[in-house]
Amino acid sequence: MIAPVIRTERLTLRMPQASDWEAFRAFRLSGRAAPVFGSETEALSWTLFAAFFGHWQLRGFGRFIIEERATGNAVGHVGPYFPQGWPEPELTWSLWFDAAEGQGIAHEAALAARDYVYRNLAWKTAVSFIDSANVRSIALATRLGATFERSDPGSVKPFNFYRHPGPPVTK
Amino acid sequence: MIAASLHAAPTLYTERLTLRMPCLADFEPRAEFASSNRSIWEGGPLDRASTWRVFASEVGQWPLLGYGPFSVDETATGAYVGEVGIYHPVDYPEPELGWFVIPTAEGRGVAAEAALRVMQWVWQTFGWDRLVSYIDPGNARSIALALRLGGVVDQALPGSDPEDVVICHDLRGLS
Repeated sequence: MIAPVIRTERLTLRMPQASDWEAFRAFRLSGRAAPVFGSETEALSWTLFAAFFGHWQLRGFGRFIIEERATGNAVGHVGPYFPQGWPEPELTWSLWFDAAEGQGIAHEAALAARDYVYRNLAWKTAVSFIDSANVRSIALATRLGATFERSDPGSVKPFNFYRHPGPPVTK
Repeated sequence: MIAASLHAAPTLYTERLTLRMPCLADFEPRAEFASSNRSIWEGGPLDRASTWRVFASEVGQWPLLGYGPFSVDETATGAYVGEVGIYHPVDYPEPELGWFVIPTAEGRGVAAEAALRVMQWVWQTFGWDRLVSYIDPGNARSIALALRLGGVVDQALPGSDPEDVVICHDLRGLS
């Protein structure tokens, strides 16, 4: 398998690597993710981290780590996510640190990742599932041109479908 | 583009079995098991999304750690019978030898046959002295198998859970 790498103006989107664990762990245990995912243990954080790798292995695609090229720091993840049991393939994003916010990083990464799923994975449509309390994520989805489609009760808690504009029309 | 360094499982053989890298199709029998009451000794029952998380994390051990669970097929028929391998999430004190056999394949010694091959592979590949099995005290079937493999109960060792029966397998000299 050839590892895909996506370069944008300021970011490198790449496959996860073992050395991302410390930053990912810090993110999950910081409480930053708690409003959406609930409180967390190191064990669950690790399961989620290892599952990034398993998803790539099992599906042949997966979520990219967002690396800030200027610093080399991993600051979040973005991209296609499709566990078994999911309603449909999802375009996801997450910034790991408060300090990474407010610079358009998630927007830049999500745009590139959406382009990737349409061009490289030939997705016909893309959706993001967002907790109704996650105001920042909803704002980003809206900025990306996604629109609210419906609510789903979910198995754990309700979430909202935000449908993205379709793939670019090729001539 | 750079070349990925994804470590996948090697393919190993025993008299009757083929041990190989897990694939997407292996998820269904795992999900069936996890949703049933048979999974009570393994933290179940679980829904599909939770089972995926666990399964993907275990498969993810291969690229992340260089070892993990093997899926096991019966060589003659190609039929999937379960998985056997090394489980090492961050909260386990050390790498665990574990197994899962689908209901229709039980009672034929497939887990034991595959587990012996895995122990041999671990010794030859990594040179580890031992592997442990962490088993719920209520899981008599798994305890019996671990003992049949030559394992010895060692309650001085910490478990993955305080209740666990910890069974230690000596790998030295396996060939």
